[in-house]
Amino acid sequence: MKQSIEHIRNFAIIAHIDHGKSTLSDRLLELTGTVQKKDMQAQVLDDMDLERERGITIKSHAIQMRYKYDGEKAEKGEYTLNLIDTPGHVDFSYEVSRSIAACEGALLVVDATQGIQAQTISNLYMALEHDLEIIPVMNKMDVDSAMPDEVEDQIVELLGCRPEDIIRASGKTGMGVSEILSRIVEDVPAPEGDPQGPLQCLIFDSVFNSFRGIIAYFKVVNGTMHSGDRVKFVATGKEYDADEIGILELDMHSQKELSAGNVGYIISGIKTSREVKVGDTITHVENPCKEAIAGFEEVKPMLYAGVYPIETSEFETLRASIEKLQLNDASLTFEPESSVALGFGFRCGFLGLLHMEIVQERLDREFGMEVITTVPNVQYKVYTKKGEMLEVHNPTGLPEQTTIDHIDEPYIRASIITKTAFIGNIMTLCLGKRGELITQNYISGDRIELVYDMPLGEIVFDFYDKLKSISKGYASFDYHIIDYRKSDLIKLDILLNGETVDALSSLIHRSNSESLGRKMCLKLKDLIPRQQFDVAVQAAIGAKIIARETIKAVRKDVTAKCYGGDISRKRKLLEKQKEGKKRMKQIGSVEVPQKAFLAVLKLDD
Amino acid sequence: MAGIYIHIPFCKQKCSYCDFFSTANLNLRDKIIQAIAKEISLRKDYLLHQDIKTIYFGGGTPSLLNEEEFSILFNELYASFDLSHVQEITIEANPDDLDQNYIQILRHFPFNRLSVGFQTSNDKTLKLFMRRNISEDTIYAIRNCREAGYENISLDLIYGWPDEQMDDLMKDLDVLLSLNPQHVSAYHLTYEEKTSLYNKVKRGLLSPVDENLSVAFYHTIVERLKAEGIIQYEISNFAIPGFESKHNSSYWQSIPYLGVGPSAHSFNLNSRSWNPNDINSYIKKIDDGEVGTITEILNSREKYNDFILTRLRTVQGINLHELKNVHGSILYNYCLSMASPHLQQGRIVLEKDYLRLTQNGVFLSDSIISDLLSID
Repeated sequence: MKQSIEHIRNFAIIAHIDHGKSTLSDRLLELTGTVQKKDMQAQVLDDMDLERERGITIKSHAIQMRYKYDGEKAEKGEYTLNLIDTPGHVDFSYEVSRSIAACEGALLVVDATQGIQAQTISNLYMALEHDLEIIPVMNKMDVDSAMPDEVEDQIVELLGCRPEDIIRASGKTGMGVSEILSRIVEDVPAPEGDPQGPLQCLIFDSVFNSFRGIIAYFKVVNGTMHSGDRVKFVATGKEYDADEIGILELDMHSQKELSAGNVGYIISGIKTSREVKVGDTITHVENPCKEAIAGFEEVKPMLYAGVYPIETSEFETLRASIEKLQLNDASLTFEPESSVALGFGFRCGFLGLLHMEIVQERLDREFGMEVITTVPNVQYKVYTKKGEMLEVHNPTGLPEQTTIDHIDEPYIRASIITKTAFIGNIMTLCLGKRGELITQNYISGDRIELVYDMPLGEIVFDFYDKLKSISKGYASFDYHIIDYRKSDLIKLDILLNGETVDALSSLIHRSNSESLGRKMCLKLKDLIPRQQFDVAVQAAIGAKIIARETIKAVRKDVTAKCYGGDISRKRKLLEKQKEGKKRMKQIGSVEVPQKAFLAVLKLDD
Repeated sequence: MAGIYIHIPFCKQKCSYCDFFSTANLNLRDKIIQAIAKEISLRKDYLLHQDIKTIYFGGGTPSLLNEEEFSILFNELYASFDLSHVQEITIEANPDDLDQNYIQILRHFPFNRLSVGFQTSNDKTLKLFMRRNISEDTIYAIRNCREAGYENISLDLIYGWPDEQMDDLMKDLDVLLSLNPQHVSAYHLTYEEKTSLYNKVKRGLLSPVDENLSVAFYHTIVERLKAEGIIQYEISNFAIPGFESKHNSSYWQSIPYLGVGPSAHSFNLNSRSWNPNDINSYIKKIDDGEVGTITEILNSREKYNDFILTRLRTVQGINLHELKNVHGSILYNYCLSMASPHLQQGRIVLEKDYLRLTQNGVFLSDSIISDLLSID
């Protein structure tokens, strides 16, 4: 069905995790008849199991709704509403920015029981930068603990809107949902674009389909795309036939053409997600657009970690699994590496910690690959005395200390929103993480935003967990990379019975080295089971040992009785013991369980 | 060669460390005895008419059985099996049951070996263990047995109990040796889940002895018994040469055995099976004329694992020729390669084609054995 550009509304939903974005989206789909209630599986949009379980949206999607507007403030008639869903986590902020760039408006959904969170603010700023019309929605109004007046103040303060502009809603009961739909028509401007001009489409997402290859989602900014057109992806320079184009309702509906303002998908026989880059522009091979849509960036991993198979023989299986995973996760990078302790594996690049966890879980669930992930590192810039610059994201890749002039590390600007009661604790935490307070803004009442510049590498080590625990959960956190700064970094090694365990080495700031070394030794003492001999756990900087713990040998592991002839039970117990040992990694003569390799991530005080 | 084990699943009172199957509820006693007798006849072909060499009454507390009950069981044994080759018939007994009257009853039956729960001479600890007797009762009971003519008596010793010191162990050994046992089973106290002792440890009311002390206790026992001519032949078992338990040895030597009674285990070279440990379902099955065993057919890997775990418990160890001939050269080589770090560390020795634990290895036997096992 063709719709004039004046009757199209493209909008996103900005919300913090758990603020009810998905449930609210489901109500919109239901009320517009896009899905029937009986077909609803809760939260239609999150279609990866993992997403549904974690309650977060990892990959964004788009869905089209038809809505009959019968109000007074705009032209009556049928409208096409494109809901462009956005990922809800800091690791994916670039993808969020491209989704937002495809919209003219956004619903700002705030949980009436929790108020505004850091994530909401940073995505809101992004939306404001793109001149989106913001419709504030206060969700979860049905919950007893809702505090509408307080949250209303926060929203008014933040947006400078009037209290009556805020829609009070509940995704659960359906309250306010029809008002949201009419406000989208009334407040969000129609897209601007020339259906006759040269083709310019913005790719904001892609998914992998094992039958059809990569399906790219895009918004037509200018021009019209027809099924069968010869098209070109500007950033990659590759050309394809538009085998099928269409719109997304609950399923894909193919169309003959899509023109300016509309949102749809293209299938063109692309096999790997690397060819479809979020933010890229699609144009015609003949009569191409003069310039690509602004804002395209190559997504670069922020975090690197070694991923190793538990069974060293499964290296090739792991490679095949990661390759398949990469088909629908273009932001995952990998290259082979080897470790003395762990054998052959891959150095993988991730967008952030959550992304790393997701990859690890997907490897396990979708491919049955149990892996060991080593201590993650950020990417450092190492300047040698000869004036060269090396990008190092693995402690073992560090050149000789004597040849290093200095090392730069990535810094982030972090925004933490919390209650005033927790400021002291949070400042202490940030200081310990080498944070530098840039500013503090009072949001309303007892809520405050703290802005810090911090080394990204410090966030990798148990920052989230600590922030959550010292603020009793009342702190939200968001960040973006700002620059690289010079740092006094050193390599901390861990030795087990005198052997360096390369997989446990880390690059850290000198000021943290002693306490970190001590904590790691203690933690490893806890995590490595006692062996048949004493095991020395040492932390060292170069040849200098800075901490030591001893894991005492087991003296007694013997079954007294083997009577009544119950050999089966005994055998099973001993086989279980053997299996436990087999799952461990042998380092020298020491058996080390997997969890030890992530020890530094969860260091307690 | 084969053995028969009869499990008598009742006790007057449960010992605080024991997780063997038994019930203190004596109401079903008649039915249980009837069911065990019936099971003996139902399973008379299990051992394929091999010569029965040993019979063992274990429990629970077999010394709670009265004359009539013994008669029922022995009548059934004689009816179902040829017992003319039997060399050893053991009964486990509690010291406080062994008064002169009861011993006279036992004399009516062909028991030639008594296994008595000495445990410790420390009365406070006996109370903690919830034993029914004090130390003096044991001394008295053994004297009664000797007087009645029993010449093969085994005593169970428990060491490594909470707060035990070397002096306590020396005293226990003195008292135990004064009773002139032909056989000693010395068990380090273990805190088995679901026992009341285990719960006390978990709640912090008791603390297990230090591991170094445990090791010292063990070496003291081995040496002291040896000085008295009682020689270790298995991790926990010691005997004057010639008095080794033939029945228990069958568990370590791949000799078939039939186990009857609730929770009893059987082995016929190719499979292991066991009865349910729920008394009611045991009785019901047998009443219906069925044998309620659960059977596990052993594959070659499990046969190898059983071989390793039983043989390595013996002082003799693993016969490498037997290992290679019975289990094949792949598992043979696997065993040797898994054993090699232990050989280097002196926890295992290789002597005259036998692989065995050293005294340093005994106390780590579970982890050593598990290293040698083969898993999928």
